[in-house]
Amino acid sequence: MSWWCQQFLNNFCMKELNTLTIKTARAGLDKKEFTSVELTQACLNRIKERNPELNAFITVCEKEALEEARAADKIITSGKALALTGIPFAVKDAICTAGVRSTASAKILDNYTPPFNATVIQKIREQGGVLIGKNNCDAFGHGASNENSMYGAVKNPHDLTKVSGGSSGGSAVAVADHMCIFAIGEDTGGSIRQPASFCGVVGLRPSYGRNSRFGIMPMASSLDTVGPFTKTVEDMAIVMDIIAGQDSLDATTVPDTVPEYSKTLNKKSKIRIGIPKEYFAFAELNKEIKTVIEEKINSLKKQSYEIVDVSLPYTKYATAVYYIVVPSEDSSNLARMDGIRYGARKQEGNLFELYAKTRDLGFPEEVKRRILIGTYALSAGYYDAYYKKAQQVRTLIKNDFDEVFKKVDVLVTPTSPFTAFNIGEKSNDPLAMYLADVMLIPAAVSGVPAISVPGGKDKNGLPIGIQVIGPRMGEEQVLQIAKQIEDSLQKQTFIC
Amino acid sequence: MPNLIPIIGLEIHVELKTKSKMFCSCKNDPDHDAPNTNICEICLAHPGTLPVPNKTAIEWTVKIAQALGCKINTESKFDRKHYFYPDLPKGYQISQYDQPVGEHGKIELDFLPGKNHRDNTTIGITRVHLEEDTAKLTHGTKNETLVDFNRAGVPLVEIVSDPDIESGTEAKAYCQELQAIFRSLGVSDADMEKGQMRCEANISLQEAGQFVIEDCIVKPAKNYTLNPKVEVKNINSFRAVEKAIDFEIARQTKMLENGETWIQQTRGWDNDKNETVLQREKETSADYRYFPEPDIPPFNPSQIAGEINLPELPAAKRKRFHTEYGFSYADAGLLSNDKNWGDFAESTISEMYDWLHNLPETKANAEDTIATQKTQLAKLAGGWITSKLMGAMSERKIDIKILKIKPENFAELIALIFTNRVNSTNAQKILIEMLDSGVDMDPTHIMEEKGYGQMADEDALGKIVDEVIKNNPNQVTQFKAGKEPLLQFLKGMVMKATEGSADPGVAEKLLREKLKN
Repeated sequence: MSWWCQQFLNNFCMKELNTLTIKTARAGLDKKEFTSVELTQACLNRIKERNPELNAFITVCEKEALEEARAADKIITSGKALALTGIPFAVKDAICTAGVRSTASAKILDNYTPPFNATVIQKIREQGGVLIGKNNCDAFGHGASNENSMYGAVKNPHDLTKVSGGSSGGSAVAVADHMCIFAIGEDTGGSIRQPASFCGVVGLRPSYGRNSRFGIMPMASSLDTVGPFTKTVEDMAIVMDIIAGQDSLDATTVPDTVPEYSKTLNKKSKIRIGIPKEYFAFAELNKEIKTVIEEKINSLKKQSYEIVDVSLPYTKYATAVYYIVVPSEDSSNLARMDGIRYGARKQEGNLFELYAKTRDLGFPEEVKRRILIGTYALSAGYYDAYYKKAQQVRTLIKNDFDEVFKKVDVLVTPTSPFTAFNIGEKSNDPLAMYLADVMLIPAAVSGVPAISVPGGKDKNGLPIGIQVIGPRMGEEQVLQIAKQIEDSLQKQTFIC
Repeated sequence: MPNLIPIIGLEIHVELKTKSKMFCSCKNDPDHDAPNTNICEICLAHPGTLPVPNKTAIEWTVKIAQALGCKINTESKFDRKHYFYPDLPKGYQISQYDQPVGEHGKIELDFLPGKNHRDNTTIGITRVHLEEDTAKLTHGTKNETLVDFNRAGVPLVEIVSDPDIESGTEAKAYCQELQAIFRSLGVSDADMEKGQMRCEANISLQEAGQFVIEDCIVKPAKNYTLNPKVEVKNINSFRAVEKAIDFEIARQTKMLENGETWIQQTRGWDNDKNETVLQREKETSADYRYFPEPDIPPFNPSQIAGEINLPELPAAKRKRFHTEYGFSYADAGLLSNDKNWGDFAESTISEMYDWLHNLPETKANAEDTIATQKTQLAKLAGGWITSKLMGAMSERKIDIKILKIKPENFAELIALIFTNRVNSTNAQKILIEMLDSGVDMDPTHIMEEKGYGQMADEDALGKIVDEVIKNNPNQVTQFKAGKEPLLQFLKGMVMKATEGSADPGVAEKLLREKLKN
């Protein structure tokens, strides 16, 4: 059965509304096949049914979402629907949403409701997106398994004994389990790509400076990015068309014009694909994953893409660099959480005690660990040896990418050396947890875009992610190759 | 006791009067009465908010650095300076650490003879950098502390001097010079009483010949241990700058003479008690954990400097006022400190020259008069501006910005005085009328209407002299008998009878003539 036959069947078979993509939901809404209220209710029902087990949401905006959906239906009826009018989406809880509690999964912000929207959220809201709720995550983005949330771990919908990945685990699960149509997460060292890979959805870390960070609760300002989780690469392009671009509220966004990703997605450009040998040499790399990736590379080769073996020699230092730079910036960014102006305050004793107790009760262990490491690394006498040195090595890693992108247009690698691991397996071993991001960190410290796209499943039925990395502001070719990988996977599945 | 040299460095903070704050679009109005009105999620440091630097504030900082003769850096960046305190919403202040906007500038100070232990000196400027102001804390009576964030995030420029200052007088002059520069650039009103300009002084005393100043740092000679320095805060006026430093020099001198020493410390100036009070002793230096602000890209101040045209600075204007117009150093200093006054003085002089070209008494030799009597003219005009006009205005709380008298009419008044058409007493009356009328009045008109003109007509004045002689026979007899001082009494009576408008020279001449007979 050809792929278009499958599409044909999909359109005629009655599907649960919450399983739709942005593309198909938009079409259905505009053709009045169903209403936004029905679509939103379908997502809310799914949340009610599944969230008690999966724990993907901290806050569900049931009442508000249905109100917004009703308003959206009126707009759709009047023929004035915008790209996302009436489409329910979810947001990582470390991203500010006006009037909706945003905790970053830490008790210190348990009662915090921002008076403003993050710029990307504002843009989605302006296009009519219906905010359905806020996703659980590792507190302040600190983690790779979503076990560091003060609101409990998020579970993997493919196997409840496995982690969702992190830090944006709740958002990946919400999309994978069809509790919403798409979600917005944040990626500092892999926090979108890794849970996307573990949960089997598409997750994009954009180039640093492409999307505004305004309103994204910071972890490491020089690495943080905000990006979507979607069910298809096409949806990814649709959301990126809306959220990308320079922002007057973020001095690190770049003025470059943003291509129309959804229009260029199916363009078959001449793209040279690099295979960096270092990513296949990690001892931890699971054989099944390696096989799946190699199959995909072969399939791309058959589609007459040029495949080139390349090398990124400084890859092995990326994790070490990351775990100096991130805690350093983290310790600084979290200093504002002092219980004085907002958030939870433990009013006790003198000013020092107020600070100490507020922060002791409000932060989980991993946050405290990073604050301590960062404070130490920035201290007088250590700054040169740690932070400054790390930034110097970071430049070398960036140079690696600059060099390699003179030869190729994108890189294809595994997203993670393993599929979702057991809950509790690494939570007492911070170093093992840090190494889970080994394939994700180099792109992050270099500021280049990278996507994780589903590549298949392992023998236990757990998703395997494939990472496509591009040069800075090269989202266009990243999305194009991701689309090719996605298409080949669909063909494969349906032919079987 | 060996000769002790005071070594003083000043840290000046000045608030820029940009329209909006440093990193957000809130109104820059730190003294707004209602607390917490000019605030937003950015200056309250809500999670996820980011700083976007104020372009004007950067430009103005470059301007200040240029005006202070600094080397303008080609790369500059912001850094985070960390400490926990409720006046610091982010837990760090965005400041500049190792790449300030400008470095290595200088200010030259001149003193009138006898006013300072040296007549002129150059004070090096270590650095000029841009940062943000903190919130204002108010400690209540019930152990509560209130925080007003109106001031949080206001652009603040820090200017650090080299340790080149040696006296309270020099410190005060340095601060006044900076204020004049800020005002001439239009970047701040720099009013110390309002906290728009703040001063912190680092003071130590070292034995002459036992130290050198290298790279802005005081270094001891071999086998010499430097005396610890004292940082003085809470200095809120120019007077306090001078007094606090003089007090501290005297205090440290006495301690050293008594063989006492102390731990490096911070003291506060107590304006009521006229003394410095110990605040805290510094055992170790604070660790601010500076690191480059990742939310703001580095910038190139040198490029910005290329697009700036500096106005004439106070020092140049002062010099020009002295050489070009002949103003005394003191008047030139006063007049060049404020742009509005400088403009007023310059227009007054040129209008006054015009009057001299037009008045019948001076018309013929105007050029000559101006050339030969430039200094006298400037002295006259300068004195009338700096003492009479400024004095009367300050009594009436009139600011130069709202002064109705235009230089043309003021210059006319000076010309009337210069040509003896009106005497000083009546000229002052005319000035007050001009000021109190609330409009721009013509002084000749007032003079004629009120009869303030100088009576130099011998016929008219002769009649009054005759009256005076007739009415004071005793004094006349005594004068004729040789009591010369009585002539002054008789002259006074003539002045009284004419309500001060008699030309004193003509009156005396007529008295002598008539009393000879």
